[in-house]
Amino acid sequence: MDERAPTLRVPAAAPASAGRAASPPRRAVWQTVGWLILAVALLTFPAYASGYLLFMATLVAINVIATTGLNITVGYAGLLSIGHSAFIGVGAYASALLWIHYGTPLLFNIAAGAVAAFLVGLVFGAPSLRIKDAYLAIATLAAQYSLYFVFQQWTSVTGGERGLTVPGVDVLGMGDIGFYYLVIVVTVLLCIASRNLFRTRVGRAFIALRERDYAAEVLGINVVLYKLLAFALGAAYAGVTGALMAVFLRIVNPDQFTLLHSVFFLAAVVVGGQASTLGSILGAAFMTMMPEVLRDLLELVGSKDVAGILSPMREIIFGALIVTFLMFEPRGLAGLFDRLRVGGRRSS
Amino acid sequence: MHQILEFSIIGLASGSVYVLAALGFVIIFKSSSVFNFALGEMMMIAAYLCFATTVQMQLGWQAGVLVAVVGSVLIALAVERTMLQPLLGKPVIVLVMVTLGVGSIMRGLAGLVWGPDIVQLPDFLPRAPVFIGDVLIPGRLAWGSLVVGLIAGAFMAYYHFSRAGLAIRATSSDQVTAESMGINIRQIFSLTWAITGVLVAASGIILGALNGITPTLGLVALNVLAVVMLSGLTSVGGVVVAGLFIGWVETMVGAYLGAAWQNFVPYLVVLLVMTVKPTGLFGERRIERI
Amino acid sequence: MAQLLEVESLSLSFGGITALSDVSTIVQEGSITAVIGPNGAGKTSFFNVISGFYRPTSGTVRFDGCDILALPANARSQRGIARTFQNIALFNGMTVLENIKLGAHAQLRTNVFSASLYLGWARREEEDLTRRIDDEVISFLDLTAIRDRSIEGLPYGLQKRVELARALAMRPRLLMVDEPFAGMNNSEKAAMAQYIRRSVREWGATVLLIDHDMEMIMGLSDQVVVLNFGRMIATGNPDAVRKDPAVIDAYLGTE
Repeated sequence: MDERAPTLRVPAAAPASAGRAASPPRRAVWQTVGWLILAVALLTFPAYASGYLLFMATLVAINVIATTGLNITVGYAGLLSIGHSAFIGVGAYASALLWIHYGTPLLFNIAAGAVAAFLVGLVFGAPSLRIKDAYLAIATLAAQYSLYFVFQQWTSVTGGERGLTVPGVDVLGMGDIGFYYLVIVVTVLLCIASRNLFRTRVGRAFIALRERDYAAEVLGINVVLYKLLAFALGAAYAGVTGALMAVFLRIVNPDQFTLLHSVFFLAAVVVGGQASTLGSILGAAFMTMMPEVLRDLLELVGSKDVAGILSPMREIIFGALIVTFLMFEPRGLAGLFDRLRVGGRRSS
Repeated sequence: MHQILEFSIIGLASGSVYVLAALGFVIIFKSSSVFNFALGEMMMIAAYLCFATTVQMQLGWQAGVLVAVVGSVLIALAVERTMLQPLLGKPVIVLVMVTLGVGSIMRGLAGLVWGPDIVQLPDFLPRAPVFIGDVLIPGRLAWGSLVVGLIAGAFMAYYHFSRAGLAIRATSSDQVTAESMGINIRQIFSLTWAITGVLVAASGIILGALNGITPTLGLVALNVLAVVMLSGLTSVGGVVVAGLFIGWVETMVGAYLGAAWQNFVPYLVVLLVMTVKPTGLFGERRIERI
Repeated sequence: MAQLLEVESLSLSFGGITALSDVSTIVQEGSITAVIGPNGAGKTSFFNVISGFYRPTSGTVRFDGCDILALPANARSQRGIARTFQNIALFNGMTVLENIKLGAHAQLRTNVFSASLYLGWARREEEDLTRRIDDEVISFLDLTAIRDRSIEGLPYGLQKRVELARALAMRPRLLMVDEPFAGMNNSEKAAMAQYIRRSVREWGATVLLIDHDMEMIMGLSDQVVVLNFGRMIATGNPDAVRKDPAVIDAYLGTE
């Protein structure tokens, strides 16, 4: 090695960052106003909402968490995961069991659910991601069925087909309203966390993996490790969802975690908008409300066997939503929203 | 010893049912890299079409088979043409998700039209047990695997000796070169789906004849998946060996360890293959040009 | 001058195809070396071995004295090896700036936890990075106008420049550029040549490049290596190589 300095000399150009204007102030104002309105709406919601609406809002928020997680795996990192609901199940059972047998505090149980799901995700992700992305999809399908098998057969622990009855948790002594606030806080935090990821090198690496993983490799990204991380992170989010769901619905049984539910969340990601936090929120809201609307429609039409028709109809609609949005609206509702926003501004 | 032999032959016979569906999966995957997650549901729909024609409309099993095969091909082509071809050029994950959605739609439709309860096809496969020496094989299984063997043989002949088969193999090997030789890639994709339509119809009907039909018949796709993975995702001939082997393993496990363990076999196979030998027994390592 | 890259008897075969056969060369630090040859000569395979995508059947590659063949592909960038690709390997769904930032990935320390919190530490690292990229790379390659544009839909020439920017964000010691002049008009080529020259002069990078444009190569390079059918048929300064009968034969022979 000769005497040249080990670090490279960098051209002494005028700092380009100095003269950069701040992002358009008007847009920032509108965004802050928007967030404030949303925050106020969320906070005051219980005051004027019926019991049913409060229930639905809480459910939507819980589903937002799972959808956001799946979006990290599928939307940002481009990995197909077909077993998302199985990881929700892992979180649900883990936290429920801790609560039932040890009475541990709710926040601890939620964290435990996330960690459990994360680890299980690693177990299924590691062998398959070593090879090719296609194999991950297979592994998640295997996870879906084998975890269901475990939930169903390990009766001594999971309660088998009947499942577990979970005692309620009273948050801040405010009952349903307290739980609603807790869920909102957790959801908001996790959404912010997801968005923050993509302001940093971690998120950028996920997107690079989706696009061209060989190029990511030469940039110094350990492709297998990062894919595994994206996948297990999505599973962790699912774990949180499961933990919240267990206490919210007060029961945990295997039929809550079937292929139908995994397809539900995939549809939420596709419909809402892949690689978008707003998309996750819109998608979860849409998919959660949709079966309710469907049921009301069926009853309105005077259908006799609503319960019997509802399940297959849901399968048809979830599948149809995935197909139609992928074909005609690949950026989902968030993309639509973006287009309207840009279009609106241009015309004004 | 005699018992082992008997179970073994039964195992091989039941494994043969997976072979046809697995063949359909492989030719689609090899030529277009699309993982057809609707494979099981395609089998299921074909079985129901046969049921509808034969039992519900009382038209006899020959008409049932015809309707099932033709219907299956039409559905396969419709899916490929209207939903997959417009998306060619997008990342494969998009097309795979579409097949997932299609599978869900098919499951729901079947549940809506025919309900969740199991239905049976009439006995068009002779029930009388077949004896090989003094080994007893249930009649329907024996005849079913014979039919499978014939169809698989016909398919292999077509694949290896016909011009269309050559075109499929060329496309599977190198799309760009195939196209520059004048092969219409899009037509090849449609062809592979149409052929799969025939193959899944046959295996769906036989499976339905053996075990009855429900909207969840498509679950057998997981067993087919295990077969395909063991074979190596890209080997047409390997699928035959893998299918027979897995059928054998499942039957032996079911006979000696019980039904619960038998259900577990496909997942174990999948996991084992991925950890130990990801390219399967006969798969090829593909080198991508960067 | 130090020998930054030493390639010795490199051979690469896939099944029955020999991509590289006994290729040896030395790249001096601070120089520009071009690898040329007819199509299929093994030029990109050569790059791919150095990058780590292919494991050679025999031979050694030493970078700065260390055997890099023992390292996995993603570890080689940490040594200071950057590379661009023949078919542009930029990432859709991100802006020009974000693509460039990826070049610095290996030098950053933010992990999942600090990233999701994005307080203090991680935020500072990110903001420092943005400032550095703006000051050093974006202005250097005149990309200020398109800094926040999505890379989808950018003209080809600009995309190639962004890819170069990404490589430079790594502050590489060895910059491997695969076909920097392909598909460009004359003024774009001249600009690219200037950027490459300045990368050496102002950034202290050593350049290894592949291209087919003889005029640009001869005007730019200190050393030229000629491959044909995987073998090295000539090496030396541009003038010597241009007149080498074996080289003339290889190019004329394949037409």
